[in-house]
Amino acid sequence: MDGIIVSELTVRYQGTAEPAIIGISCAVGPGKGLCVTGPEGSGKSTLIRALVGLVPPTRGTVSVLGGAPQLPAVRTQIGYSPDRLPFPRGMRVLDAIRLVGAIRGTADAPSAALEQVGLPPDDRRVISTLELGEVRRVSLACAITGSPRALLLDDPWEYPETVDVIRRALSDGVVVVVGTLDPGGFPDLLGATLTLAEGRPA
Amino acid sequence: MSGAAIAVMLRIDLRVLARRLWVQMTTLAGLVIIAIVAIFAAGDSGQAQIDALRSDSASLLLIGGLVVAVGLGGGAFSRDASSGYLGLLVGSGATPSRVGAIRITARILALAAIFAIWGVSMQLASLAIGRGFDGALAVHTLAALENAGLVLCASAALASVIGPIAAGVFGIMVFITAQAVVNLKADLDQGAIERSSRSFIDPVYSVLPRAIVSPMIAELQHRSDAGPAAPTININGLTVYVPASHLSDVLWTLLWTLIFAGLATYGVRRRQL
Repeated sequence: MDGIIVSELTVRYQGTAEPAIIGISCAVGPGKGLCVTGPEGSGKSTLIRALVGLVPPTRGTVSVLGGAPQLPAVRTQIGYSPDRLPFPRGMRVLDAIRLVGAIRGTADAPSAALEQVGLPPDDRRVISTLELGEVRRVSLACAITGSPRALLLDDPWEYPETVDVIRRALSDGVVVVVGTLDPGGFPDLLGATLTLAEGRPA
Repeated sequence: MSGAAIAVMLRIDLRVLARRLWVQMTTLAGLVIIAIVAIFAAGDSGQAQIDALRSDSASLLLIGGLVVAVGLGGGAFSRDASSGYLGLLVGSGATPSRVGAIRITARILALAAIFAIWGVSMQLASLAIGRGFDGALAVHTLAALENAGLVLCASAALASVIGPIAAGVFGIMVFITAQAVVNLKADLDQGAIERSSRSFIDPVYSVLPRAIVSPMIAELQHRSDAGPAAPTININGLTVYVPASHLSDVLWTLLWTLIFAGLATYGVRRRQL
């Protein structure tokens, strides 16, 4: 299967005694979605970061689009939106999209991604001056830049544009995983839900 | 990742650094100090005028250079790693080591740009007081840039594993050590300390990075006018003059700078983003 396969995944961060997630297994096919939910500290972000290849499995395996997510060739096909405010002070909106586009080697104009998330197509504002909701939109625009085949969104806010982006991605055969504290309408949109509690499936 | 992507990353990193308020203010403060130095030097004449401009410029390059180097190096990774920015870059397909190398390169370029701005302003100040182009000061600017580059990379080497302040302190400690090694070697060679110390000082001098001393500083020392950039050393009643660095010193310290840059890159690769 060319989607996401997670088998008995355990992740422990450097310098910590207890694993952040323990024995997680799931599979999501192309054009399918998964909503990962649970309380704070339940391991949602860790699972998504493991899917992106930012944290290696302590035990178990992760396959994304047929390969290990640590491989750059796989990563360039992943659209990732981190849960925090992932932009340095002084960075402009357009620069953030251009940067991600350059890394992914896409010829897509940044304006397309910005318009999809409801931001001006030529947005030159400094990100640190934006409201939190707008920063989340910039992060989402970064994730969809370059038409990725897997979309991994950590705590996206449920704007109409977010829903449209996910709906369009699913219809294009993209595998979508969303991690969220407040699932709202995401479970219905994505079709499957994995609830975590203290790092394990609830 | 293509060369074009690397160029875009470098360019955007430099733009972000150029928009940092502390970078703008430090660069501007340096320009103001240079203007003040020129005004005061204009009141002198002859050798005193040359020494005043050179000595005060050297002080600015030392202290201002260290501030900028520590700020750029110490802040290279920690905040952006914990904010998720480095994760965003790596998650988009850049390798961690490439992200580390590009960020270090951007910071070195930013440091060089600030030194270029200050260096050109010092030359303009020299022209303004009727002294023309000052080659010795230009060479000293390059020497100070190498010292600051060492501090930047040493700070960055730890910035992926510890906070920016602690990383900056480490960078300063490396510079103090590099200057102490050079001073001790001069003390030994000029007979200010016992020959028996050679068995300790020579190996340490051979291994550790060495602060680069420009011919201008060595010359100013002989007139006891080097300021904080290279104060005259008095040991056991003897005055020791630190000689100008040789090409081998320049290359050795450059190698250490590259080693620290490599460690910084390795640190990003090892860090969980």
